[in-house]
Amino acid sequence: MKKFIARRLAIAVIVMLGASLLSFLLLYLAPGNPAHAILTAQLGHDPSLEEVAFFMAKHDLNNPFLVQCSQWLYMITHVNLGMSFRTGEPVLVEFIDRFPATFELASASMLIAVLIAIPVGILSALKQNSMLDHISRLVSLLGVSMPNFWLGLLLILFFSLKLGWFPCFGYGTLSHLVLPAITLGTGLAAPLMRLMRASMLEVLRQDYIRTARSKGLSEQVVMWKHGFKNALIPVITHMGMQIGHLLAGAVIVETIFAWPGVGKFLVDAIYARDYPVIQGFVLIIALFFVLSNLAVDILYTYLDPRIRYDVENGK
Amino acid sequence: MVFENKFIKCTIIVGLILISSMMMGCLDNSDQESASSSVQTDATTEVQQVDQMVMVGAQKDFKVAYEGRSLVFETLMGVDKYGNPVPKLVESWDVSEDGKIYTFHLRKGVVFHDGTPFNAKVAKFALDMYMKKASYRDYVDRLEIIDDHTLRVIFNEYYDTFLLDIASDSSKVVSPLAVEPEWDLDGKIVEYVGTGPFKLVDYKKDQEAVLVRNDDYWGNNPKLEKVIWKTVPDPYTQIIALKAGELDIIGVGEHHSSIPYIELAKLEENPDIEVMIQSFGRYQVIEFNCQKEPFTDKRVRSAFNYGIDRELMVRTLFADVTEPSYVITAPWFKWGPGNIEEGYSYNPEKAKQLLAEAGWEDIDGDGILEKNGKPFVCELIVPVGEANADVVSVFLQAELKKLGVKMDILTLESGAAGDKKSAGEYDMYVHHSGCLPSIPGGVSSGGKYYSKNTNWAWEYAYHSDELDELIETAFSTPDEVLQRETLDEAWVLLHDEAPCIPLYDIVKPVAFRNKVHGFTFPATMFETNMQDIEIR
Repeated sequence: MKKFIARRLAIAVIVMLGASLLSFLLLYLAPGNPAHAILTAQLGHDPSLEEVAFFMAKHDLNNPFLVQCSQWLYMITHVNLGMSFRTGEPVLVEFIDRFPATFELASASMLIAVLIAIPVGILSALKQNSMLDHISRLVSLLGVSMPNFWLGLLLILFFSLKLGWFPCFGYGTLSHLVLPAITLGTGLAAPLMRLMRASMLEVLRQDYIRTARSKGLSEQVVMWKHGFKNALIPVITHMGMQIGHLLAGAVIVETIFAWPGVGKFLVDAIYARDYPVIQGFVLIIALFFVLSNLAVDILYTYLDPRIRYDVENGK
Repeated sequence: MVFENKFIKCTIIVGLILISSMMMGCLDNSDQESASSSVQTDATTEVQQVDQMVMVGAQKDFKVAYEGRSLVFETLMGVDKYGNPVPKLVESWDVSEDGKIYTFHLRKGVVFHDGTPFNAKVAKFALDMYMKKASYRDYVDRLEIIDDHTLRVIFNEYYDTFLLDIASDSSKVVSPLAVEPEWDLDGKIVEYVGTGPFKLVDYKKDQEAVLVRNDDYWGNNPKLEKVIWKTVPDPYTQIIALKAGELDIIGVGEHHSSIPYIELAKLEENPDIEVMIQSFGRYQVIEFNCQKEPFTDKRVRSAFNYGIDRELMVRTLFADVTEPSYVITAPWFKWGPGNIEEGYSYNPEKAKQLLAEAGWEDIDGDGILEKNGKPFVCELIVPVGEANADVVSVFLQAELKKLGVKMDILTLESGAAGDKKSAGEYDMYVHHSGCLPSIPGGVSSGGKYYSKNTNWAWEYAYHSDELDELIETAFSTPDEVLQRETLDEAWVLLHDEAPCIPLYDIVKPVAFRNKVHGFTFPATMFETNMQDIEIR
């Protein structure tokens, strides 16, 4: 297992660098110029040629692509992600300043999603084609179909303006977290609920469940020990990917609720062609994806003892 | 199975309608009820406790928005709404007859928020710092400190817009001690320490900035004790928060109009909210690629100008919020087309006639004009973020179709749109006429209609040697009478050449709760004025 983790972490470095450089390459090839985008935003009008030239020279943007890449690689080997073109602050500081908000929202919305999706998904599978099943499927379809911005604004209108229970926007207290977490959590819960239901139904049809029942095990043991644990494997896989996405920030929810997370900052950086921020943030986000998937792989071994990473080629 | 699917589909639709109508139904009288229902947040509690405090809702972070910075920083010069230079940190100034020597008499008794006195040395530092990337860089010979409060700027060549340039946010005067390393011209501004009416005391990235009154301000002290700048990127959240009393004022934090025009009527109906609208003379215009067929022909450009019913457009799309524009930029600007008496009025017959004169005819009877066997098809580029451009472009499409022109709309992210513009890969492009402190209308040496402009990427706009000559004459003389006469000629020429389609005035609305009194608009779109606000 240790060897497996070490190998995966080594691959992680390649994944991170690859993702980061690929994003830089795509933006480098895409239309748009960082000097023009950033200066226009800063000045409020089209910049003069002198201002553009000054900006390009200051940020070494006249160098060829490969030179810029090697400069960046050199920097990251010295644990330096560079400075944001827009804010002039170190990229790492920009990330660290915003990550707690993103982490808080990601955790809360994932918690809401799990608390809704897992029990409802299981119940729905156990009572297949019952009224409860129909309702839960309807609710999950609604959850999948409702765009975040629409649900978010409706929640603000209803719970903030009408009822006055929660603030319309902002960050800091638990009451600020409720509406954005529900907005994001609902969207996450819906597919998770359907997956849990489908996976549970699949598992319940397996021979080993029939065997367990025929052995005379109680229904509770059959469901929880044999059914639930096995049904969780695809659900956990899905959650692993979702956690990666959540930690990359939720742009729409962050925008609507004025949530100071990494997502909106990253998207603004993309519009402004703020290369150091994009490369740095993608590097860190790629790490989150790798780590969350690694965690999922490790979890598999606990859920299904047949999965062993240190056994090679059937030995 | 089929029955079950149908049942589920029907249930979903009914469910969606029910949920929406339940929520919306509850909101029908929300405006009235919101007054009685108070949101018990930290923020509003604070509003009730602190008398003279205002919560500003802004789309951008305080340090990213120049509108907010104007509360903390000041510039050497100011500008009025017409474009005349007015005193700011420079109390008065003399310009030599040849316009090459500016003597600035600096305001006395001004101190930065960190206690550093403002004097000629500091003013020179500020000018030196910004001159590194300013357009006037190559024109300045030297700066001389005459005495503690007198600074002289000596030009080697006449540069007309110097006073305007140093009235912009990019020339804000910062305490030299707030630069790291201190007094270093290449240093970085690390603290927000200016001379403005408010001091920045607390700042949380992407969340809020807390500003308190600068009691040592040289001018009239503001009545407000505190301004809290809240970053709320979504305009609809801002509107709801204003109604809920979580924000006191919205629309001031952006130079563009951030409150959707369509929402203004509903805001005005709310008894707790007041709306004010101001024109800054910034018109939305459609720029032609005048170097590309068929827009090389001025008859075609004029035809488009006569063929669009701006009055109908403005009334249909924006009700009474704004006014249509019939000339290239606001005539009341100091350099504006005040001499143009007859704008591009709606005259579809004249438009059709001009197109026919230009050789465009509907030969095959399909409703689209043709010339040399080619149908009249053109493309309008809409950069994302241009105010109201989505609805305006659809209106234009319908209007041009009546003339027999098929216009396609291409909406692009602003970077991609900008690249197409600079490469000349466009027929028409949604833009605006510019605003102070830059010279609006594209007629200055940095303007888009000047072929040798130092501006970025307007190579394919309208240019002519005759116009260049007029612009050069107008902006190479300190003689204001000669300048005006030359500009009059330039406007006659430009108006006749129809380099763009001016559409309407992009007015700026501001909405505030009615406890906010005394709000007035600043002279330019890039500033925020909180000077006279009082909470009652």
